[in-house]
Amino acid sequence: MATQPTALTPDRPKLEHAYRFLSALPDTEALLRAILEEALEVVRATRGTIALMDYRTGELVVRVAVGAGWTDGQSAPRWRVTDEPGGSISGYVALTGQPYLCGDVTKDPHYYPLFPDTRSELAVPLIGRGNKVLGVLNVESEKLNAFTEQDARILTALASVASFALSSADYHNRERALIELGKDLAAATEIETLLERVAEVAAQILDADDCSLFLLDKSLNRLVLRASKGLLRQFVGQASYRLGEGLTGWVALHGKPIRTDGVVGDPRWKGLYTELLPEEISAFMAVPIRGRNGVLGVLRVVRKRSSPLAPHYLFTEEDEELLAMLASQVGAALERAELQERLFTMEHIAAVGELSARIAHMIGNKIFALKGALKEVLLRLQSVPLPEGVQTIFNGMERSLFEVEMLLQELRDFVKATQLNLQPLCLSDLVRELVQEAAQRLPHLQFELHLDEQPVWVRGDPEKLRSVVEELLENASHFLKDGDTITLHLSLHQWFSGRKVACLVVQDSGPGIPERMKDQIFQPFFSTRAKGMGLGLAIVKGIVEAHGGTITERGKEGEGAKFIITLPAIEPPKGGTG
Amino acid sequence: MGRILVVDDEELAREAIRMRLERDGHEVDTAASEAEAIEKIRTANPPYDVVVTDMVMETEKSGMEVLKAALLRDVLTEVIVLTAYGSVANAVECLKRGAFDYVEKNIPGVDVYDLLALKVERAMEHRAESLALIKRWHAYQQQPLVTPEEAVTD
Repeated sequence: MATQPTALTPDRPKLEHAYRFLSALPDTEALLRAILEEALEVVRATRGTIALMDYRTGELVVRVAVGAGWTDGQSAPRWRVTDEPGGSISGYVALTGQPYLCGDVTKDPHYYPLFPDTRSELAVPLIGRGNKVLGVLNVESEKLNAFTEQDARILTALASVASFALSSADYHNRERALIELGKDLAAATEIETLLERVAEVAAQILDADDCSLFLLDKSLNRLVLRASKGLLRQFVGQASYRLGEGLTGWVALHGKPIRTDGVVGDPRWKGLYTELLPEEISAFMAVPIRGRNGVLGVLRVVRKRSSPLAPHYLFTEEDEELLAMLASQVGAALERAELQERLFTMEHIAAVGELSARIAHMIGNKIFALKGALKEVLLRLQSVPLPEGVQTIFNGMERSLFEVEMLLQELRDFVKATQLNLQPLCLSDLVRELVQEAAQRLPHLQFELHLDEQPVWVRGDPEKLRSVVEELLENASHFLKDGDTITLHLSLHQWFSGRKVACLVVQDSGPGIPERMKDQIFQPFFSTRAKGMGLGLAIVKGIVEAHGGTITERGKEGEGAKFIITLPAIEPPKGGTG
Repeated sequence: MGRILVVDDEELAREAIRMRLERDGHEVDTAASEAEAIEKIRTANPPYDVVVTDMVMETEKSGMEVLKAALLRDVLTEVIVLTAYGSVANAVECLKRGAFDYVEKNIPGVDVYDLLALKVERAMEHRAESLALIKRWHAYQQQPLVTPEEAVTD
């Protein structure tokens, strides 16, 4: 006991060595070994271990073992974290989070015999942030009552160095993963690849078994799975939640995170699309992905239970901060991508518009001259009998000139698409009227119209919106057979931001749009039809977007096309019944 | 029939319009540019009854300059503006400044030459009405002692 106050003195150089190790952040294993060797010398122990928590199984696993009796290649002992008799002293310390001094192991209820010569033992916990037990430092001696309270204090100090090193290593790993991801986010152009990468990295740094990323699809008003690391991968693009539906929908609707052990018993849990069986889930965490104007989606992670008996491996507050940070980066990347896309499309359309205006003007002039010349020729030949076939040639020329003028008109409509004459307009009436007209014009097709009881009003250009619906119906009719159906749904939706939107769905029972063409259908000059120049849907998109709306195509190839238009809705004017 | 000036920088178009209007018995003169048109309008004696001018020639607003020159020469000259794609806004501006009408060159399925001939016809009538009105106005002013009843029955 007389040596106690000076116990540290002869060993100080070694401790300094350990601190140097620490500041240089070598591999954790080497550092833990140095700390343990230090501990054995300072308290004159025979042998010792540092065991770390495996939170998946709820067990302590020996990471380093030093001293007499250990043999190379010996499998690392694992101890359950428990206060049951014979469960091991380390297991008991991990449970209580308190140092444990045992003078005589033969009389100790927790002792788990590993070496026959062990007489006394001292174990201290490795405590991380938030009083989380990271592991246990355990030393033993073949002497009875070999360790003192002072030894316990020394080991606690060494254990805190180890804890600090473990936490640092953990931070270091997270930081590296985040930097890597940051680079990807800045460089990536393909949004899908990026989302996949985020799911992968989030699962990796949060030690999660799965990670899924849902984005809000404004035209559907649903959260659609866009990336997943594990089991849900096959449902990307298909799995979806309504806002407020399930835990995922709750996060999007309320813009708040959820961090919970398992999901069983949570009233919000719907279990529509799960990476794991509900009882297999050890912990669940979901955070909203925010943009400037509200929630864009949800990023969620789950941990699996290693066995039905394993304790819950919870996500910490730190984990939540990290996931929220990832989510905010995703949000920024999404908004940037959208902005770029909009800019590109707008510039594209503006450039095409200006160019086509000039060309159309020149061509229009020439066509006008040609028409006049042809007319003059025909007038002069009126009294002369024409050789056989000449009249047919003239007719062909007239028809060609007519078709060129039709193309010019299409171009003009395209350029004019965004020049609007806005006024309050009852969209329900407009759609009803257009469907009636179309039913007369296209008697070989069936039309179904579903309208809300309440009339839907928007601020719009009546002529332009009319041509939008007409073009969609016209476009559909080109791909439909006799007896096929075109279905129109018009309804009012409220987004979680409180904004009301009119949602018009135009769906047909035709062949649908091939997956590979979906990106192109709204581009100018894209057409699969022989007639026209492929501006129809580009004009439609231009008009809808000029109204502050969106248009998307959500059909499945083989099941028909499905166009979804959203337009900002307004309150019906007072006294107006539509 | 009328004295008409046709202005278009596209020779084939200019000639086609000329031939079409001559077919209706008009006396047609042509100009191939804004500058040539203004010169011809200024020196014409008597002034043209109707000027048919393209909108876009040297500049986007050449038609407007031709209109100005025509109205300066004779405020009752009727001007019809031709517009190809994209210059309708300028044509409407011309209407506000006193043009009689405008004709779009490219209307699918419409015989714009016949349409133009029709509009020239109506422009002639309009001019004739205006001239008659002025004549009557002069006559009215030269009859100092006329009763309202007589004026109405005139």
